[in-house]
Amino acid sequence: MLRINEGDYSYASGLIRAKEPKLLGNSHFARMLDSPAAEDAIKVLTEADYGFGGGNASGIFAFERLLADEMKKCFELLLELAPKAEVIKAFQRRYDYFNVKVLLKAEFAGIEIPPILADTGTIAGDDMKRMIRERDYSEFTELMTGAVNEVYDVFARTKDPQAVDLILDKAFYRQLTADLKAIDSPFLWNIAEMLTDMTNIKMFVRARSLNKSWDFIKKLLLEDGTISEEVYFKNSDKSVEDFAEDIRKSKYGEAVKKGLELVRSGKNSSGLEKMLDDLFIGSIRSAKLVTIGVEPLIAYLFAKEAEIRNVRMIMTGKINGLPADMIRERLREVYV
Amino acid sequence: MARMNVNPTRMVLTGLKKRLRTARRGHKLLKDKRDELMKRFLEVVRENKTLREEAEEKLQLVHSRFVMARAEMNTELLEEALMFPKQKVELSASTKNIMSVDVPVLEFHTESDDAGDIYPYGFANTSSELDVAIATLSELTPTLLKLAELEKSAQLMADEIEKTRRRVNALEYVLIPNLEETIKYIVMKLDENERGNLTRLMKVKDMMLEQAHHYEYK
Repeated sequence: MLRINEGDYSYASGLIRAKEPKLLGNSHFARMLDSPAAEDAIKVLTEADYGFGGGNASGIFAFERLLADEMKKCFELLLELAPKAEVIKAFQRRYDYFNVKVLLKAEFAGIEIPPILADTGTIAGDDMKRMIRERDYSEFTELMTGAVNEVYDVFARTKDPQAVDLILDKAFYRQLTADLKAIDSPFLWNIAEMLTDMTNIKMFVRARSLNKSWDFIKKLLLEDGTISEEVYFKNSDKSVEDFAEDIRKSKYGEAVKKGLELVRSGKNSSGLEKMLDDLFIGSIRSAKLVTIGVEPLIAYLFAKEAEIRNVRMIMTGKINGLPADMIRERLREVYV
Repeated sequence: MARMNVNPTRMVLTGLKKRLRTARRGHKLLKDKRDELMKRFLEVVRENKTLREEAEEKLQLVHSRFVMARAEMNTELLEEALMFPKQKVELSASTKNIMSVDVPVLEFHTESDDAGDIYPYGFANTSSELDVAIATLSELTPTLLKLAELEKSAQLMADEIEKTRRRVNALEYVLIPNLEETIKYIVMKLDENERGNLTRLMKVKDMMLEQAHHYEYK
């Protein structure tokens, strides 16, 4: 068990606290939404010090780059601040798994590797390319090596590209849970649990609305969730409302119910995702009460992620001329 | 109308008359072909219009869903989700003959048995907006193919109609009048010759009578 010495985090927590007010709030988003054109909306980002600065981030279509840069900046900051890099690395692995997915799919499809490799992972994109090419897994975690081998094995038999995603997604959450549970912090354990449960709920509801069979759903579901597989199995031939009723008493009950209502009303087809994301942000707000510790850092990371998601939604909506109400409906709650 | 540059002989006249008959027959046939093509063309165009409206409406939906999916997921995730398609389709193209126009017929089959198995990505990191976009797009594929087929048919038929119409017009307004004119000319020329001949003969007859009987017709 990796123990956290809270004293080590005093500087880091202080710095993050100073950064928090700079996160974009609802007023910023409202300003972006109300701006007449995408060019004006992006100004808000420039004012908020997004990205690494520099001239290449001009133009409205470069905003994706800007957002990727901002995420990278956030990870760099946290890695620099955190006395124990493992805490941050656990979350960076998401991008490792993503890169592995891209590389394996490119290899299986026999296509050139698209320039979409993330550089926010623990292993740089180019190194990852080499490792997958040379089957050199020495820097991979045990779980990751296992998953990659499994993908090769399953793909050789089924030729199913979805299997690549399914296996590696599952492996990632297993990894995240294992990494976070190895750190002595109930806050992180809660995050691992919630992320797993929320992903399970989202996947289950989607698979149900696509009328997938239990065989398929079973392949999707992640282990280590607090909602047992039994509950999913029982509801795998019932409507999603029955499922919502069954998990009513869990902490997700309210959010799932509201989310499904949003979906049914036709206002927001990804309403469930929004409600669950909001629930999650709400739960990490407890980090605000922690003066010194690992919590503010991790909360900041998720706050930044949520913020970037909102910005992307607004910018995409602005560029494509979606009605402001439609975007507002989908914006996630913010941490600050 | 321009008359053709021909020798006004009986042989040419017969030849021209034959050509005129053929031209008239051809003209009638081509005109029938044009009318029928036009009828078929209008049918195709009407069908095309309804199909196109349907396709465009659905494409709009797909587009808006993709925009939403793009808004909820970052570009890289979206690319990764779609970089390796799961379902393979085989497209076979053959042709069908409508009024001597070879129009394409497109058919497609999905390679795997379960046609609904179209999602090539995992559900953990993708947005449900993407499902709707992909499903609509998949539903739309047959419509789009049919639309391509109809549009190409309409295009080919329009070309053929134009060609036929040009031919009909050329026959109607150029070849047939020319032939008629030339035939008239030859007939006139021949008649003129005939009359010339007749007068000449009469004159000769007069001269011979005078010589024989010193008879002068007065």
